[in-house]
Amino acid sequence: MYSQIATVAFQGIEAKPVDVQVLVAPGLPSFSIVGLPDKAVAESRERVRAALTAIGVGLPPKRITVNLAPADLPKEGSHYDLPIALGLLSACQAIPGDILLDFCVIGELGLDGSIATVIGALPAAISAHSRGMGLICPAGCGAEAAWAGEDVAILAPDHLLGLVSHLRGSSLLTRPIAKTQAPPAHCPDLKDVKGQENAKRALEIAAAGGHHLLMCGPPGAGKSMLAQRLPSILPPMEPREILEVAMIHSMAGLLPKGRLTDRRPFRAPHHSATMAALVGGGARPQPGEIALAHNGVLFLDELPEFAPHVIDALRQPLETGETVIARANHHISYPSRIQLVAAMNPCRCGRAGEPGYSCKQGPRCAERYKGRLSGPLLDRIDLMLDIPAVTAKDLALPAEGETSATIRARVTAARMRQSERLRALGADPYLCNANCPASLIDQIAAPDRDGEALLTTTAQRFRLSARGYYRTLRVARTLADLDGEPNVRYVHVAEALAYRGECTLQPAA
Amino acid sequence: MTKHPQQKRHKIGIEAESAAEALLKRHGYDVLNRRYRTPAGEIDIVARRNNHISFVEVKSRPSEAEAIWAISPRQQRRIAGAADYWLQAYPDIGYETITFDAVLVTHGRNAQHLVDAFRPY
Repeated sequence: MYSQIATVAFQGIEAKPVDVQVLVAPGLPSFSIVGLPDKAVAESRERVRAALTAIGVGLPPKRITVNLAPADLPKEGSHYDLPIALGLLSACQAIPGDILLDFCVIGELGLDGSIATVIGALPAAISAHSRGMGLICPAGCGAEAAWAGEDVAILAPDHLLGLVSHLRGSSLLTRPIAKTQAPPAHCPDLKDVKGQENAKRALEIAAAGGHHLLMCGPPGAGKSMLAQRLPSILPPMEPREILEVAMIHSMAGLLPKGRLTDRRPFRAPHHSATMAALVGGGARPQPGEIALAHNGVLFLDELPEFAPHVIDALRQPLETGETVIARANHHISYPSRIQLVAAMNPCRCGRAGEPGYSCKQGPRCAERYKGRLSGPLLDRIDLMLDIPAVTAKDLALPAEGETSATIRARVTAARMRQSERLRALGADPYLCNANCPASLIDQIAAPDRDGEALLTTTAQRFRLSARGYYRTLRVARTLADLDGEPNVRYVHVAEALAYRGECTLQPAA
Repeated sequence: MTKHPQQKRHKIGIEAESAAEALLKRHGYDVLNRRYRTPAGEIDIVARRNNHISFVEVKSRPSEAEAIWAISPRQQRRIAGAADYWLQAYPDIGYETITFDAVLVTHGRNAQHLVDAFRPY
């Protein structure tokens, strides 16, 4: 007796169709799973056996073979338990097989027959929808899967018995409801930061154009505080972006109760993070911090304390917008269009550059510390800012800074201008100035004559690379958008150059 | 003269096997083989009922639990190996299901047939 159940194998955020083929044949009682299963899948045998015994059916005393097709794709994860169990029940004619033809099944079984949550319910639901099928998933994943669309049939049982009763027609499972996250009670607001008007201006520019930002300053100046408030001035995500972020977070098991949110992700890994933690991969190809910050902010505090090879692993995603994890026989890529914000001290003791202070280790200390950051990485950072310590006068003054809401309104207006401009040119309207295609920069960010003259002279004197030249133009374009001006002018180019790291360091002799 | 303990156990064993055979026949089984010996192992009784074949191990122990525990994993593998030989020796036997059973014979109580007592695979 043969039966076939549809399921998926996860590669990145893509869910590839996999067929679970079950054959129950006469012979010495055995139960084997083939199709390159990994350890967790091979252990499915025990869980399926126990779950079927728990619901009173048990394994038939026959030769059972389960094939996970395609047979040359390695199968990973514990979500194959439920499709195998259903395939067995269907092959023994304990449940009608025709209903299962229209469903894709994922789920892990407990020894008592309960169905445990698995990661990736949302990508699986979207894959099932594209094949014209519904999804059977654990009850805990139902809310997440419901986001795939109103017309996708979702069954979310919490016990194998409940599912069997539904399939036999003796009881009915209700469709789970898609829910959103409640906004947090207290959002950090930019008006909490006293003084630091330059930094707030730079933060606004970074938010408006999606530019990468590096803050350098003594300890306690407010760098981490400012970075944490960046999400509060970023515009909320559009539906397409929300879905992308939800799929990535689903693969990492980070969707709390399947609730989605339109707040951009903010990831702040500790500087002891390994390459696998940041980029992804490892034993199971899970998304790393970079992928989890897609459409949001990756904040690296104490940037020089990160291992050098780990920071250099950032260069590729910053450029291409995706992280690629290479395995023995296939590649997995996660979308990773992030905005990088980094903070560092100018030297080990943190006080180099402070007037009237000389470090015990001499002037070489600051150079050595800054030297831990590679040139190519710094080249990709558009805004480099020195954050001085806050004076006591600023702290004591009752601050009447702008609220995040005010700044966010300006940022959203600037982003809308960018979006419309890109749409008019036929490019992806979800990009912004920092990551729009290079071929368009000459068109959209052409400066006026004075601006171009300034840019050329400065580029020569400070030996700006070609990338540096174009990134300056991108920042200038954002500045013009913030001013609401259609053309990039001299003032915009001048301000953009002021943020360029090469120009704040010594000029080429 | 007291009998040698080995001989005594041997006699008990033969008596148990006869009792087991009688039990199986009463339950409608055809006994096909007794003490089937192969290079891989030995099966006490091979019996068939309708489309079902039972490889039966006979045990005389004071309780059901002890009888099951008395069939060690090594012994289970040996019975399974013998079953392979038997199936190849009789290729024309049609069957739907196969189980490894145990018949528990206890002095002073009725014999018990435990179907699907162990799965050596």
